[in-house]
Amino acid sequence: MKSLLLAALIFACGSISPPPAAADENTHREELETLLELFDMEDKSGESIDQMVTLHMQQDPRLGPYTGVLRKFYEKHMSWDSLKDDFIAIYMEEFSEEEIRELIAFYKTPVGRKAIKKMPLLRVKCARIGEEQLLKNLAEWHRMLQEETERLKKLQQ
Amino acid sequence: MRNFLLTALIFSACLLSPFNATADEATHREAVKILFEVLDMKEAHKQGMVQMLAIQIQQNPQLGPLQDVQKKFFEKYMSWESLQDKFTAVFMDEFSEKEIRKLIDFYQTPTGRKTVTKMPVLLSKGTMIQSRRLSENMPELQQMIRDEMARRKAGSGN
Repeated sequence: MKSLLLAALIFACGSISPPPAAADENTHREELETLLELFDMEDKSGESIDQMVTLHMQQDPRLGPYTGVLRKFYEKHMSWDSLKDDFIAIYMEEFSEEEIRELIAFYKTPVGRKAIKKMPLLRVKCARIGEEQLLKNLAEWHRMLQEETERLKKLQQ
Repeated sequence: MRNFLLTALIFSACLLSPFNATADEATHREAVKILFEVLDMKEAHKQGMVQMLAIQIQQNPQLGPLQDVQKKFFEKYMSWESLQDKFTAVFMDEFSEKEIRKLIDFYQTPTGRKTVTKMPVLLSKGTMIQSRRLSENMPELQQMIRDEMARRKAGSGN
């Protein structure tokens, strides 16, 4: 009797557990959609489609007449709508629903919103600083490479 | 006497204000430095430089024997130590000290810390998704371009 009760209990637990898990998954997904909306992912993927099309044109100007085709292709496969589910899946693997809620709460504050808005600009500004530093010292860079090339040549002789 | 007191007050206020401004700037700068530490920016910068050098060698394998010199140059001019003051100025321009302190508060919470650790992982997974999606559908793009070429050819033939 005890075994039967235990078996019934296990069976009941087994048959009851999937619906709450599915509900959890749905709310987890919904929370993530909210977070990714806060991150402006739709606008960002639109911008990156523009950048990719421009890059293609720069790398191969013969593609000029096919701008429309390229754009259509990228909008089909690289738009936020087509990538959203895959992105949600990787975020779900890394952050629990509770953590996502905490992230939403922070990124909804004025400073959180400002961080989302300003971070890409800060990245660009910092990258520019790096580029300027490289350009400023390009002569030394070339000199160092030349000296080392000559040193290696002498070693081979 | 009253005028003298007022003049003395204005004079001392003028004398003191630069010190206040400097003190504010110093605490603002200090806060940005703490934020950089919390965001692990030094390590991220270091990793970025290592990747940049690796990409350069990958694209130009003839530079392989020169990688020690490249590393030396990068350590001198592109190290975190040589750039952090300029990065600090950029952050100070965009965020007030109060905002920086709020960012520190968040990024020091367990979820904030996790974000710092996981974001590079998520970025690289996101890039992988995009490049896989592109390579999987490349034949479709090639076909679309062939179709468009044929359409244009047919159009110019008429």
